[in-house]
Amino acid sequence: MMAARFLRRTVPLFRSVRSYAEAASGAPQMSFTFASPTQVFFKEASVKQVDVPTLTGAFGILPAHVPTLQVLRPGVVTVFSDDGSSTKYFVSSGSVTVNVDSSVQLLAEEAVPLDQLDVAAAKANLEKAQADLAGTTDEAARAEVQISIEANEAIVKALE
Amino acid sequence: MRSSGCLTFIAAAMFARSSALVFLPQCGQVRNMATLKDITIRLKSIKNIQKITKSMKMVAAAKYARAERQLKPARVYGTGALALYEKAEIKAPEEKATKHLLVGVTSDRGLCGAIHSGVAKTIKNEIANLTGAGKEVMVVNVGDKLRGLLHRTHGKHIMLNCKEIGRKPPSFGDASIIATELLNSGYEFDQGSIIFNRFRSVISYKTDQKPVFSTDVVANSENMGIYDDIDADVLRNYQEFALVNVIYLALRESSTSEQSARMTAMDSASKNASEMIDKLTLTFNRTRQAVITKELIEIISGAAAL
Repeated sequence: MMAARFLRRTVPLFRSVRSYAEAASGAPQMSFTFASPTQVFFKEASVKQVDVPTLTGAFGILPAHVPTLQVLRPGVVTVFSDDGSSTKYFVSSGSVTVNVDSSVQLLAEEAVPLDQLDVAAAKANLEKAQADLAGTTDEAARAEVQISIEANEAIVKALE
Repeated sequence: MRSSGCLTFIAAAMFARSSALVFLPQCGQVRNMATLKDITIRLKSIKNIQKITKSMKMVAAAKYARAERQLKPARVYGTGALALYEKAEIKAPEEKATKHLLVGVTSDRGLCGAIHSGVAKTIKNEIANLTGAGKEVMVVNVGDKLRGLLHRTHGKHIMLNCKEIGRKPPSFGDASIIATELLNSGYEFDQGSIIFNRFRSVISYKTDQKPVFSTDVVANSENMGIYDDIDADVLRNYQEFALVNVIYLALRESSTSEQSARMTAMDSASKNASEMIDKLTLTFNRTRQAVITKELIEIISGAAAL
């Protein structure tokens, strides 16, 4: 009986004492939206990981990634879905947003699954662009040619 | 020949006796009820108009079906682009925002109901509110119809006009051209909104606004600190891309609403034309019978006089 009274008095004390942090209650799901102006690839889907190529480098996004905004560069986006399979897409440019609630919006100006790209055509375009670069002097035209070179190089690298 | 001469005489006598107040530009075949020839001409022209409106309705229906199909991915894309502003709850500070931008999205072609006038009305109200509060407002017209509606009364607010909208389905390239011109115009706006007709269903659309923020407002917004590793360059690129995306969404929604409204308008025009044709056909038959009766009366009374 004394023990019980002792417990009753001390129970309030325990409430103000530090306690362990809560375990991650069911890891926050990533609500992944991946779309181009003409096609939607994923809409608020739950995936495991997404690798994106950005202007500041490539990085992978998992659920509970720190919020960030990034701009994409021509390259390959890899989506790892919950069952372990991965699909690759080539994106030309665009933006990626990771929000606080773990939702990710990947908006690409143009995006195609990798198997729809032809490596021979890409190589031919790359050579043509490199030849053009030597020929142009106008700033804007030079910029366009350089964009073309960068995109074609990325395609060729992705397909090899 | 002889009978029409008699008719003329009788008609003149009738009118002369009936009223002195009625102004008759010419005596003769003019009467309150139109002649057979007038009715025939009118009937033919209304039938032609009905054919035209029916075919316009079919064309609009085909274009609407395609536009609605393309709207689905565009909506996902557009809402994705706006997600950042919603989730980070970015708002322009009321007192400091002095320069406003309004982008009105319509098209070049008419005969689509209240599409253009709805957007113009919203823009006019917004201009009135903002200038009443002492803010500076500039308007970008996407579509010739909007320019026509605004330039007389609000000409000094118009900054940019875009033409050749509505003939072909809008593409991402169109949106990026509009955004480029807007950003190159040099107007440093603090806050803006895009006003367009959001598509709800085949028979209904609603004029809606989506916000546009300047890079400064976004950078200084309180919740932006949560977002990691952002430098000015990245943010500017991101903002420009987001602007194009919102304009693209507005163009697609507006195009779908316009085609569905044109379909409805042409459908009701065809129905009205049908009604008029029915009524006129009845009038035509009555007139025809009246003419025959009169001629018979002439002949019979002429014969009786002999």
